[in-house]
Amino acid sequence: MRIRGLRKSYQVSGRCLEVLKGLDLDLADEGITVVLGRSGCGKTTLLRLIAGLETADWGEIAGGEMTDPGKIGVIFQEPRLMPWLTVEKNILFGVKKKRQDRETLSYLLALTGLIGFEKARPFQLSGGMQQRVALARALAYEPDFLLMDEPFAALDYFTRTQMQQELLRIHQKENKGILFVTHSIEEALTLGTKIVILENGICGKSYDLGDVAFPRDLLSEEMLSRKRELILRIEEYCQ
Amino acid sequence: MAEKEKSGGIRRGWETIWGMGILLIVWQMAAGSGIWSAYVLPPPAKVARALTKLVESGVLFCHILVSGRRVLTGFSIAFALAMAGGILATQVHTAEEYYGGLLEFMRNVPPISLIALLILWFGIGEISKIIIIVLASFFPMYLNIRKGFFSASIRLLEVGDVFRLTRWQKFCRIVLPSAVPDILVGMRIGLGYSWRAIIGAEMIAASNGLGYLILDAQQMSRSDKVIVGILTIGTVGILCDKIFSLLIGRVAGVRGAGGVG
Repeated sequence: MRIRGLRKSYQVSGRCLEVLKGLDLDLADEGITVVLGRSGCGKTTLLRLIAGLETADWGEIAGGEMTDPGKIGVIFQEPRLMPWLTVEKNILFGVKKKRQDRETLSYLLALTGLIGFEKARPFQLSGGMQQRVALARALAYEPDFLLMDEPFAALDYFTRTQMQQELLRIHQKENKGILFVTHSIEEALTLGTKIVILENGICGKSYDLGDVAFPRDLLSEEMLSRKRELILRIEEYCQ
Repeated sequence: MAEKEKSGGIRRGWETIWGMGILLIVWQMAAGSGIWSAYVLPPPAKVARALTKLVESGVLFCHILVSGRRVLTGFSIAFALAMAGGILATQVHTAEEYYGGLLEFMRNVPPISLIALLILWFGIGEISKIIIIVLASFFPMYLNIRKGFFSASIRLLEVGDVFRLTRWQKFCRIVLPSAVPDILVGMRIGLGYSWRAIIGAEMIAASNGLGYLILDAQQMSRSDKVIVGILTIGTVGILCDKIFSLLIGRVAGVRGAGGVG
């Protein structure tokens, strides 16, 4: 997916607030691209523009040879499950009736560790499980690309770490391109095959981590030095 | 938790029986004091006798059935209109600008004030009676249905956008299910209003129904039968309300106490 010259501004209290200022970004079809940045730097705006939930003032978002980004699956900060539907019906929410089949559902339930909870309602699940349902729902849609907007931000440390490992496992199996938005440097280093720093409305320096194998030891010398580098870079932008 | 709720329910049941018992004692004492004549305040025993007679003869059930049919017909028409109005308001943004003013006007007009005109236009048959019930129950249902439709979570609607649902699909699959609790609350209030309107409706030259029973008994100076009629309307109303509160409870139980997550 390629993004060129993306601009977006909002009117806030009569003032024009330009969030994205001609952003260019290339997203790999198979890797996990992590967009890292402070709160309010435009990460979610970028994601919403790609998902088609908002319209850009200017710029182009295209997928492969096509002029539109293709089928996009989105996982939001909150699970956004339909409270009146069971887990299985939530998972199949985006799938057309004639294309729904038990086999795919069973595969997704197994993939996301939800076997036995098919008939449960969202309120009966923990936060982590609800996010897994949201992930299964996005995968059931068979998207060309997945967008994830700080999906684990509201989870506790242990659940977040577990979910990150599960996401890596699922990514290795499904091999879908993912754009993952976060403000956590640790999360970016745990998941990203490419890390892009978003600051001042454009994409700054990007880091290729494609050669670093999963699972990653964040306390290793290599990862600590990368973390230091990222912190220095972000602090530089903040000044 | 369930046992706690069950014991709470039983306690509430006993409290209600106690309350009713105290009311009966006070009523009996007031009637027996001789301050008021049996015509003004018939004693509970006289009312019970009238009730037994009406039940044994089957007359009371006939009146209940006739009034129930009228309430159900009026309520169903009002519900269909309220749903149609709510759907129109959500699907066609400018629609409400056209009929909103008229609705607001009609909401403030008591249905009973229209009786003279309704008789003139529709005669003294069933139509006038049903229109009174429709007018009485439409507004609480419309307002609740409208509120339910308009308060569908934007976050859930965005999920529909992500899956590229059409406007109508989003309405059927997100807005409508989201609004179910409000629709049920509207129906519960609307049904209560329908029963309350039955007296007004059956003031229009009725020859049967609970409203007729009360008005006829009034003219025959049978206060005991008037009280039987009032008690019957109240009891049937409570039963209908219980059904809806059970339904609302079930919906709330299915969705959990939380929001939309």
